[in-house]
Amino acid sequence: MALSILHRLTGVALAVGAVGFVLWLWLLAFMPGAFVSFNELLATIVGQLMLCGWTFALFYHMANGVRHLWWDVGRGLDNRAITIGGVTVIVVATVFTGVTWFILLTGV
Amino acid sequence: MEYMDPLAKARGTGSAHYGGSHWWGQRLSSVALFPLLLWVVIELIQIAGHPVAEVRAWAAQPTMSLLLILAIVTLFIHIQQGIQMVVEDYVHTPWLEQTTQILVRFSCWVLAAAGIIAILKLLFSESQL
Repeated sequence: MALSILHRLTGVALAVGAVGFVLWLWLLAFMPGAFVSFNELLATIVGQLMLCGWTFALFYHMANGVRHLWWDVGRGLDNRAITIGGVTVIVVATVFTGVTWFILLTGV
Repeated sequence: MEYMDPLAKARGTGSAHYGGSHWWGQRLSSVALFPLLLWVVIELIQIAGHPVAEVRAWAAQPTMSLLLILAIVTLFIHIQQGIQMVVEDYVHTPWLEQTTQILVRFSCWVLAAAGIIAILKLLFSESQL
């Protein structure tokens, strides 16, 4: 149940992030000076936290989305599968977020 | 692809009299976004923190431009579909719901167009082709 509302919440958060992404592209193309300032904002602690949250939202929404598609073809609808699937989604999202940010922060 | 029974379709049963194509469209945009966004994220990780000139050159590559445009269009189709569901669930005043849905759709158009224009600008001003 919590995972269900999380799917919706992450979706909305990602939509807001998508607006930011378009803004980032627009600045990159038309206002390089402002682009640099925007990136500096993203590099602050708050900015990095937001990006990290957005990364988790993305991987969670993607993983849970796959789970939804799985249900759509009629698979995994029993209680046990639902529980296992839910845990898997959280683990996958957390791991992917961790790996992504490890790479970003250590420059691997 | 039509899932509705022809007779049911003719009778227009179901409260909305419509919806199958929305369901299918949402599945299609989800499936398409999966590889597209993964690819975009991987690329962004590689280009993060690089100087502006390099980021511009990166975005202007033909394959990157193609990927970004596909990702943006599919993304805003998916976003419109998803937000539509949220509005349907929480806004029940008819005129407000209609207006919100329309505004969301228009906004997605504007944002997608802005993204495409930005990418094309980079493609044509930075590319060596």
